[in-house]
Amino acid sequence: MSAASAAGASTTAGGKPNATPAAANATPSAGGALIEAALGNLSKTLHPYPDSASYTQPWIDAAALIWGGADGGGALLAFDWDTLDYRPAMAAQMPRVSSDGKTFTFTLRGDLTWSDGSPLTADDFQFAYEQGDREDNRYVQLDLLQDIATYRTPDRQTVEVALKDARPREVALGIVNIISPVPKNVWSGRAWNDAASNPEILHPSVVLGPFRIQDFLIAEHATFVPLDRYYLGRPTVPLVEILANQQPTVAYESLKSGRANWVHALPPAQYEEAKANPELSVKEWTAANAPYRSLEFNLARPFLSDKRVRQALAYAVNRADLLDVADQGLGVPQYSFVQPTNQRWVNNGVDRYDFDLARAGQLMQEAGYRLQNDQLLGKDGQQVRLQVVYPTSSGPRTRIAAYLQQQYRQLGIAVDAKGLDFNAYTDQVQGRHDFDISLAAYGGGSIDPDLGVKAQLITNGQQNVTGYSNPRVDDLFKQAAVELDSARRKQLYDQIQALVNADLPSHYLYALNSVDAFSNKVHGVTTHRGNRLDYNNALLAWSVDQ
Amino acid sequence: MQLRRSAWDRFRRDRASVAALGMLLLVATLSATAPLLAAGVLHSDPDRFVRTDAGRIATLRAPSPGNLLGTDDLGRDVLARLLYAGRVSLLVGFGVALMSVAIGAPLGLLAAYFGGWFDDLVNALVQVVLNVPLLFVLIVLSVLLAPGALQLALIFGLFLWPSTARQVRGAALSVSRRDYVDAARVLGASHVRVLRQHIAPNVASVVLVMAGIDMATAILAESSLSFLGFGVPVPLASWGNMLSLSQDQFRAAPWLVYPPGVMIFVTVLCVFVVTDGLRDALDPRMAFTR
Amino acid sequence: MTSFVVRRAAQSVVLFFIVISGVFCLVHLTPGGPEAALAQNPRVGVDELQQLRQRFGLNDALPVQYVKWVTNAAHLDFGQSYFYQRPATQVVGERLMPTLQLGLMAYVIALLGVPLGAVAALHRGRMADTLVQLIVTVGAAVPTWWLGLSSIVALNSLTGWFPNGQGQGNAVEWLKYIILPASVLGLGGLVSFARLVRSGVLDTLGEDFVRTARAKGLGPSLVASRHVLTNALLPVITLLGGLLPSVLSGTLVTEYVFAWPGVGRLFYEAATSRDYPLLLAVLTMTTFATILGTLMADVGYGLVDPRVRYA
Repeated sequence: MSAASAAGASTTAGGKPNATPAAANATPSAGGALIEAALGNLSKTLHPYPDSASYTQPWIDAAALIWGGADGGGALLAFDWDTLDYRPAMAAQMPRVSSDGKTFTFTLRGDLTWSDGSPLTADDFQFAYEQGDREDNRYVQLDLLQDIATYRTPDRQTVEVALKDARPREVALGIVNIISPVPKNVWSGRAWNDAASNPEILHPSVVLGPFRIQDFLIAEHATFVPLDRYYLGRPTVPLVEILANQQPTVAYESLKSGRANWVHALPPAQYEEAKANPELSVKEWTAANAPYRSLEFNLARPFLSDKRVRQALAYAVNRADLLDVADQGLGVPQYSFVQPTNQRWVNNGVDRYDFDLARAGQLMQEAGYRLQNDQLLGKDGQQVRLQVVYPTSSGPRTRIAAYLQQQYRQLGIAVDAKGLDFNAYTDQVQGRHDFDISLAAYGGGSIDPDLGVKAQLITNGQQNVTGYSNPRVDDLFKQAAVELDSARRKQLYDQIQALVNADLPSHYLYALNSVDAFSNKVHGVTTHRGNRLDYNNALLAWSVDQ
Repeated sequence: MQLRRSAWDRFRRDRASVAALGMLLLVATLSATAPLLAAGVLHSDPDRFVRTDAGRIATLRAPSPGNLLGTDDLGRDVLARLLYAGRVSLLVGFGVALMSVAIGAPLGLLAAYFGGWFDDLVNALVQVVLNVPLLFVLIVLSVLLAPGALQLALIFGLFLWPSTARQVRGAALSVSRRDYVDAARVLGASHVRVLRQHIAPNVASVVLVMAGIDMATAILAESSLSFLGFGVPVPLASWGNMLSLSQDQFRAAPWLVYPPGVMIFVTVLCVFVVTDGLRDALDPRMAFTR
Repeated sequence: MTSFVVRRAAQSVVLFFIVISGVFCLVHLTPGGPEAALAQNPRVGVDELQQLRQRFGLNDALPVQYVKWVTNAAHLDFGQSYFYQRPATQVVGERLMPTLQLGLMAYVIALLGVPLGAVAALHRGRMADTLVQLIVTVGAAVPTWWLGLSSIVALNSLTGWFPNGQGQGNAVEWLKYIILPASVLGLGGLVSFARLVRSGVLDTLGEDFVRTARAKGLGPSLVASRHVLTNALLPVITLLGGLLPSVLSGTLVTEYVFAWPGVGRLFYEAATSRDYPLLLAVLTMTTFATILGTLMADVGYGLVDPRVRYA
């Protein structure tokens, strides 16, 4: 169930040998507990194969602790967020690839066990695949599983996965790596999706590790204790506690008082204070898959269907100002649909639409709109009005809306800022396409453009709210999905970025920094290029003073 | 005539009430003339970004001669916003109190006096309003309408009148069935006369107290709503949303937090003092119990 | 009075159904359904969103959905929560106790407003009155969430400790954790009680029978306890019944700020994720409680003040 992440350039099937387990089996867990003051809920389910409704960030966090988790040790390979490539995890080494590039054969390590001591074998992988592949089980990654032709386990140590088509290396590895094992002895015969008859869904009794559950009070907190025999090593911390639903102010206060020692996604308001506090340390970095903000134009609207108008609206916006105002400067400007830190795929040569108010005014004139008494008049002689829609649950986007009101006033445009509750916003923008400009936020997940952002840009894509449709772009995406040569694949994505920027269905603003705050008692924390610090089995390496 | 004049005299003599009334008038005037003050005196604007010499937006600047209360997270002048915010908060507060008194008091009074099916009807209305989840009404309205302070005041008013109605009904119940009321009716007094002369004066105190409470509730409810993500729309300021949008900033930027808080406190205090003073002044029995 | 109570009780049942039906329609007609959460995932297709709606029965006509829901609700079966994937009643049941405890403690604290109001009235115009007025204003002029957050911050700065969530273990721990959120929640009620009681006591002090009693030589405290308080109880009773809905909605903000695992927070979560079964289960419960509270207040008047006669 690892977020099917992809890596890039290298074409050989060989990779790094097994990473040395962080804290070798010798040292027992000592020291203080790792306590996270979490701003969100706890996961409502602990099912190893969640459906779309259950596949939430809290679920990913819980899975990182008990199911080997996101890009950690929970599958055959792990995505390494330092090298942005795959390395072996439960597989003893990188897979043997058949000559046609479609079949991957893995040999499992010999030391794999479940939390109850029973051996973890290929049967557990096979069982998981068969369950996950069933339509009625509604696994969230089912669409990718359907690219698998056959999944076989000839013996208890071997897993052989064959794809339907040859795919680029990074995408292929991502697909074959989707399946994480599920303890067959515990789960077979039980209802896969019915929490009432299958208690394993809410309280799994047998897990992979590195931790198992001690307490899980869904509205309050959860505690986890380390397993002795996790194959990558025993975690150094004796206890992990997650405090749920903390208000940002309260979370920060917990950190200061010592009630908690980790806050993920520290609110910008506390950033300066935390950095100045000698008892805290703030880790800040911009991930390769960082969340990012953009302005999405509704191309179906007559005013916005003219490219010059969209260009003018883009030129009128100052990214640096926006970053200051909305996210207190904690980000880096972004110019295309690929984050600037995603060096594997970003095209730095695209049109940037840097702030140029004069040019914006000029473009509006060229498009046939004239400025009179500080009002931009349309063909009908009325002032141009734009409706900017955003979710009120997002403070930064609320501020962006206020900024746009002020800024577009300089072009003579009146902005109606329509803030809606999140579900109503989604319904209005994605469901009914009733907006002029939508303030969007995307990101997280895979760095491979085929697995995420494509949905926004292909004709009738699932997240295509702008109505963008360019057959050339659609074609290039199709080619890139099966292009085996990495250099050529990069070229294809470069071309797509150039085309999209020229067409300007969205104006990309900036990628956000990740900011985590720790008490100085926590040691061993290093950042990498993923947007969550607990990737890369980090939890094995961290320790906390008493 | 006599009674009214002495009521005003009594009110005038209560120094605290007079001072509070004066304060309220001052706040109301400042808020009403906010555009003039902001543009003419402060040379400022509640929506415009203040820029630094280097051309960046001056976010979260501490108070300075140019910006007496500093700037907020969007680089806007806090004092100008505070003045404009007064208009929104006072509109919501007074609007709600007015609606609550205009709808709730009469309904409660008549429900107690007439009883029977009219009381049942009022009760039914009260139950409907009390049980409709405000959150959903607000979501629906935000989609359908362009939201504004007036709409918010209207919605709050429509949701807050039941508490006044219930209180007034309770107070009126004990008076409505008394012997002297029955006697008056027997002697031929009309309903209107009885209501006006015997019952209304006795519930006036409750109405005044509830008006004060409703006003405070309205201003605070708007603040809680914007804390949860609803409330007055961007870019309008209200004291309530200035407070909730600065919730993380007590230490980092206290100039964002204290001014709206102080304004709310002072307004609510003055409203309470004035309503208590009015209540005391209008009650003829008070003249004897001092 | 019995005929009144019987009539009202019967009406309450009918009202309950009407109100719940209206709430059902409002909730379902609010734009944005539960599928919005899934729309964030780039690989969830439009058909999958529709499938979700289908599975939840959301593509049926509203009257059909209503009939299904009502027939089940009559057996206290509120369906499966969309996101918890467990019976809605089970989820609500888990959160009920913490909210009831919080609510009860808040009521206790709010009732402190009664003696405060009485004291203010009896010492009208003097120091005690002004002091109470001040306390009451502070309580009313500060938004709940602000009071909650600043008390947490203040307590933390001063003592390095603050209550977060529920206390485990013994009664002392429990009290330590509940006292702050309950005070924050109860403050609104305390203010209302204090002001209404003050006003009510002052009214009664001016009544003829009280003046007669004093003229007859009964000491002030005796007058107060025997006549005045009984009559000042009317607004208190109204408020007790009327406070129920505001405590229930007040718990939303208080529970949000203090991470209290109660029904208020559950309501907010269910509302923002459009988890209809859970939402309707909570709303049914609160509607029932409100209607009951009002009825009990009406009965209370009749019992406390013999002059109250219902038509």
